[in-house]
Amino acid sequence: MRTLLSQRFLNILLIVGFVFSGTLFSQSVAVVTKVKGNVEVRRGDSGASFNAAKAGELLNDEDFVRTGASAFAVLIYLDDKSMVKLKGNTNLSIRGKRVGKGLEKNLELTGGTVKAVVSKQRRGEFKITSPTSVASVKGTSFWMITNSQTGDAVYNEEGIVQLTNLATGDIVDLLENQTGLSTPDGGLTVSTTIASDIPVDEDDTDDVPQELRIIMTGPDGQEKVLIIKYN
Amino acid sequence: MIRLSNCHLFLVLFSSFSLQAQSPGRVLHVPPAGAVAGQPVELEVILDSPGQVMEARLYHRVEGQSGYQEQDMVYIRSAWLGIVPGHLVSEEGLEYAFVFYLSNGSSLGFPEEDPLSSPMFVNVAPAPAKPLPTRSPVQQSGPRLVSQALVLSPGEGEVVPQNDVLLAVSFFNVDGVDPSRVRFYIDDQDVTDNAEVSADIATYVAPELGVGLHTARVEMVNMYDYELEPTIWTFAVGGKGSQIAVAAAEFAYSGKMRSDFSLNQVSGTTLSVGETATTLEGGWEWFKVKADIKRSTQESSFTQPKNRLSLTVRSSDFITIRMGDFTPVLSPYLVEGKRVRGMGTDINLKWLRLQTVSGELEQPIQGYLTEDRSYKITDITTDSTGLPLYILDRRGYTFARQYMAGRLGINLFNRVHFGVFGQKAKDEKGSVLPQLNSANFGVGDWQNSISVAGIDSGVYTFSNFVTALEGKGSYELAKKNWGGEKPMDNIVGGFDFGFSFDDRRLVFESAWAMSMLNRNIWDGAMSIADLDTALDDNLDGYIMSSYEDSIRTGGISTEGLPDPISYEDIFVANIYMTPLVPIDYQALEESPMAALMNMPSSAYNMKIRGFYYGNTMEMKYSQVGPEFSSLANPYLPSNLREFIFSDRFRVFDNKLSLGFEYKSRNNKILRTVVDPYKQKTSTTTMAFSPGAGMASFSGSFQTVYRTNEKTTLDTLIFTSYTGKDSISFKDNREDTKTSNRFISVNVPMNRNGRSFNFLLTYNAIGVEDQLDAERTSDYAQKAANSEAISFVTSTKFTSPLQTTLTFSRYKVQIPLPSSVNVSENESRLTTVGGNASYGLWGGKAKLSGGISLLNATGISQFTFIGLNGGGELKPFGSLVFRTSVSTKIKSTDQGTEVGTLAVKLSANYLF
Repeated sequence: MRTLLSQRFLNILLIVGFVFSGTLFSQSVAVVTKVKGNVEVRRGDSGASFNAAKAGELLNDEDFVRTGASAFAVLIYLDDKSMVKLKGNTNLSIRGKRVGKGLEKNLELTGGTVKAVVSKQRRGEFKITSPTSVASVKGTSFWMITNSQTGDAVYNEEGIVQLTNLATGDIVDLLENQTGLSTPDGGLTVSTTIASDIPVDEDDTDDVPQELRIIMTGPDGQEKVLIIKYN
Repeated sequence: MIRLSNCHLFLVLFSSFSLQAQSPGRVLHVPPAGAVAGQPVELEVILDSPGQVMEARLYHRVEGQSGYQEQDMVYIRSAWLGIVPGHLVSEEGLEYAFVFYLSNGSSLGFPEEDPLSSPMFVNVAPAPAKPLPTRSPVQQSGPRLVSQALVLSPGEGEVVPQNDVLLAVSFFNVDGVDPSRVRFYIDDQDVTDNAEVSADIATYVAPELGVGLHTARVEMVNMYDYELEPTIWTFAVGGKGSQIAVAAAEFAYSGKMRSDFSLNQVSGTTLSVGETATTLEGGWEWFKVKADIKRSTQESSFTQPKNRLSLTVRSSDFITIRMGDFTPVLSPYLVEGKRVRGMGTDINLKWLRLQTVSGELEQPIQGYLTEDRSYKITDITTDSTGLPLYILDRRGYTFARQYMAGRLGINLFNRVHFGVFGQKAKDEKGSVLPQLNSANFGVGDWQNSISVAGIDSGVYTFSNFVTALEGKGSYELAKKNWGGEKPMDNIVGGFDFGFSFDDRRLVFESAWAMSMLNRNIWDGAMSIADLDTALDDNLDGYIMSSYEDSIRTGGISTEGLPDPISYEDIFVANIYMTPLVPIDYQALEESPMAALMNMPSSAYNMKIRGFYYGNTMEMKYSQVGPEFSSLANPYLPSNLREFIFSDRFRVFDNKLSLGFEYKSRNNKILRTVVDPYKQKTSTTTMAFSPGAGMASFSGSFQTVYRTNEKTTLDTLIFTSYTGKDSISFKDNREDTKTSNRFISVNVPMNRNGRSFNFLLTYNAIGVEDQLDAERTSDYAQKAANSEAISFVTSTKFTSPLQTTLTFSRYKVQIPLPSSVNVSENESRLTTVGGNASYGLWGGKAKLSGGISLLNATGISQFTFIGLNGGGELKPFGSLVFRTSVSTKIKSTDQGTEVGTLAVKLSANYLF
């Protein structure tokens, strides 16, 4: 009798385990590392409500992040440390599907400004899709400003960005220091970047002192660092 | 018809007989129904013995390990208490035993029969969420695996603001990291409890860090028990304004001081115990020094040291030097769990590692001064002049045991490793003094032995005895071969070898060792001539010969053999050594391989592990010969052959684990073993722990079949007092099936700011005698059925009130012969308890109190009521004072009495 009870109990546990397995399999793809101002996250299901995001918050595939005016957020992908910075009034849907030992990253930017610092991708390309265009890269750093009315502006800082206009299917490669403009009516142009047009990276304006580092190596090879910080 | 009284039944049930059969006593202990990994286990024993306890020892280990952790138990709240630290409680299970050494020279053990060979077993459920680290055996044979963890924030060398610094490490590219065993450190401070750890990432938000350079370290163990290389990085915290932060080589220090004093009054006798422990740690990242000092008022020249003094110097990861008291681990065949007082070095160059240990395993003990403990008059006779001669024997002492061990290992490409190891442990004959002037012993009446007048009978100290004999006679005390323990000599040597494939997913490991033990080195090494006659009786220059009609056949000439006297410093070889001949000469001729593998003084193991698809599979074969012995690991069971196959399957980020283990063991190593036993154990386990704040479950089902090869009853023929021959039969056949069922459910809840935790544990052990139908009516089964259930509720309220309520019930059935006529054979122990604590002045003070009730019904009936109260005060910083008072009231058929009163004071200071 007792044995039967034990077996029944174990069976129940097994069933409970498999019932929960679906929720247990939703794995994280990125983490929010910096939050300034009003930054909110909506979990997967579009019917869910927005909650305030905080540093350290994990993001799953299909989570949605929005920033308020003057807000700022940084998120980092877990597989290769690719970083996405969100400026104020930005709406971004996180996409990251696990494929083998990497993530296929495809962000959906419905409005706002982001900067992507993309590590060299082991699998596929890093894509940002807006209603107007798709920017895809293997590894680079670029800004993308999306506006549903006027289209997209992509400022490439490093490497090559492939910009595709969704209306026409036209494709251009943006080289370093080039700007691509993609409009809803199918326009796609490339020009040299005007420095003043590049959005300000709020990461660079933090209240962190500047520093001067002096590395000293002792006779035993032991390194010591003298750090002088100043504002 | 045999009729057992309740008292006797109680003794059978709970008591342990004296190991030396000198003084009966009772050991009352209610085994815990279960335990939780990472959480300490309190084990309480009530001892009822006429002898005063000189030493109370708790021996515990993780199931499957060979050596025990030894621990002194403390007497508090009318009972002996031992606490197994949480980091030594892991899912493999917990084994423990108690041994009490009494003032009359006897000892009591629990379990009663050979406690260290057949310890109690406690099922351990996995920790529900964010457990403390458990020191389950980590497979460490070579450098750690490369972790490929990715530092996300802050980056190496990055400068960040002072507040709310997010530290994040991604495990995305790390295979199978076990989140429950990840440890997060900042500047060597363990912050794991405040970190968020999952199988994908570990994050920690540091509330405020000082300006300057900081070091973060994340340690990982994967689900296959491998330690991974820790991820270490540095970052700087900048403050506001212009400043200079000198970093990188900052000196840091910390310390901890604790002082405890307890006073226990038991039946008019007062027992006071004080202990002070201090830990000091300081240094730089590349050079650290740690000192531990513990002083106890229980330190005594009559027992092994209770005080501990140790100093550890560590330079980077390459060199570690330990001085004072430490517990080295070189190989289970050498030393594991035994304290050494001396010095140990560990030079680890990754590809080459040298470990050495030297010091003292046992300190010399001259013996108790009480009557006949250190001396005994064995005879009274007359000397050559006709005067009385008293023959004295020395006993009750312990020799100093010097110890030396080492291991040299090489590791090639983290794939192949090979090591050689060895040890020598030798007793110092001169460490025990022949004369102990204050030792007392009884002198008998000379008239019973001789006709010449001797000294008056009575109890004398040694010096008084010598004085009394002046002019009346003399005494004789041998210079060696005393009646107490004999000095021993032991050497062990061996090697270990292993290799791995597929990034260590497939691992093979093996070790082999052989020991030589001399149980009596009083007379030193033997000569070649002694050796000649020791092995074949004939002094003819040959050993191991056989003779027929004085004609020798076979054998080995002694001419080429080394003279044992020349090698006395390495090992004292004489007729008391084991083995005298390391290999069965006859078996060698029949089957050389089998003879080699079954050498009685050898031990070896081979295991292969595979880690694939969430499975941890292991197959192990091990054997320890009946004559294998290491004086530095006396708990290694000998005469044991074991085969184990196990598999553990984990899914859903380790949230669900299923396990199976089959274990077969026997003692049929030598061909000469009569009626060898066999034991086959199969265990199925399941654990489901979905995450922090969620209910977790674990369960196991174990079946143990144990048999010996006896098929008939033993026959004993004896001559009765009437002169007639009689025959009696004894049933020593063994064929039992034991079932062990264990279930544990842990449910945490949060409601209206209050947090609750409910823990339900159930354990039932049933023993079936497979030969029951064939037994006679007076046969008594040895093992008992038992059932234990416990329910613990702990609550944290929004106010600074915390409560814990416990309920447990333990039921045991004594297997009695069918011929015994008693009303019942069951004893039930019910424990109900409640404790509460309330914080005051913003946590600077705390009051606590509780009550417990232990009620026994069935064949033994008694009640213990325990009351306790206490307080805690933190006047400033990390200084904490604690005090507690407790009493226990005992109620039996004979009446009620306030048994004991205990007071404890302690002070702690961290800096």
